[in-house]
Amino acid sequence: MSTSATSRREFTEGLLGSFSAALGYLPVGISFGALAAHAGWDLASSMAMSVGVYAAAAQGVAVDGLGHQSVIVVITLMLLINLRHFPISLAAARIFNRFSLGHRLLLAAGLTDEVFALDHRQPDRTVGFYHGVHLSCLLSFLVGTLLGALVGRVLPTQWVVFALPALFIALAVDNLRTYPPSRLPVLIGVGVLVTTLSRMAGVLAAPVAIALLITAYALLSRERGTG
Amino acid sequence: MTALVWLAVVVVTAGTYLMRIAGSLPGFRRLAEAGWVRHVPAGVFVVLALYGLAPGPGLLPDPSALVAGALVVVLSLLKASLGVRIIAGTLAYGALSTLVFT
Repeated sequence: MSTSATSRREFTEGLLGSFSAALGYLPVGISFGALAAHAGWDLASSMAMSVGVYAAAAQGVAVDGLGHQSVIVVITLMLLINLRHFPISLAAARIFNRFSLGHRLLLAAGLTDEVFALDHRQPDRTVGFYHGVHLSCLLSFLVGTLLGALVGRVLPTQWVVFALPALFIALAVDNLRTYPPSRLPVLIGVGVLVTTLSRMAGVLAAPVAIALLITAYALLSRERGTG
Repeated sequence: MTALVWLAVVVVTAGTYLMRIAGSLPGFRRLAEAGWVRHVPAGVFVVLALYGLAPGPGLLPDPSALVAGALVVVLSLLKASLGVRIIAGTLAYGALSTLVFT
């Protein structure tokens, strides 16, 4: 079999093999599209953000904050949320470093938490396979965004408004699970305390709370030997 | 509004892409390996989740949000997919805020 035929087969395998996992992106995309439509965004803006940023949590912050908060605060928050891509990228480099720079640059554009998990399960495939996986997930997210943007306007606000908090709660639980269970009461307690105090202070409450909490978690982990 | 959205798209797309290729760029590796970066996701999502539970100007949680949030936590502990958790939480909040805690 020729190299290009093998590459096409691997691409198709990646595209179809990750289909069920990629379907998970559909409701996330729908939620973002619906929230953006409710916030008055046009379809082009929603789709551009899903193509470029391709990170639902950060996009949710944009929908929630733009128009109410300073654009600098919103952009800073979005970039802070996306900082998790640093360690993911480092870990993914172990899989992708055998490919050419062009392939690595293209694969990086579609690297998300869930996509990395899919890549990581099969670390010895050819580059075509990973392109298939990445495209499958991106397409699902884009179709979801499109559907959400189209139907979002007709849904009552009460039926879409909790999509974003639900996403953040789910991701908070996922991330807290990486800490030792015995530390969780302290970590959650510190989180509630820091968030409440920063809200009472008012100015730049969320960014200040996030910075304080990251510092607190780093210090707690270091002192208790979990970092 | 549209101009602000596009500004955010351009800046955050560029910034996020840099983070996504950091593994291939030696200059960024040191920052990515910094200990505090590991705590960023938890710090960010805990704060935003708590904001979601008490969305109004006051500090008291919205009862519909508390119940729907608890459902999302339970589903997360049961390792339901992200999409299922979001849809279940959103529908629960919609039903509770429309029918119960009106």
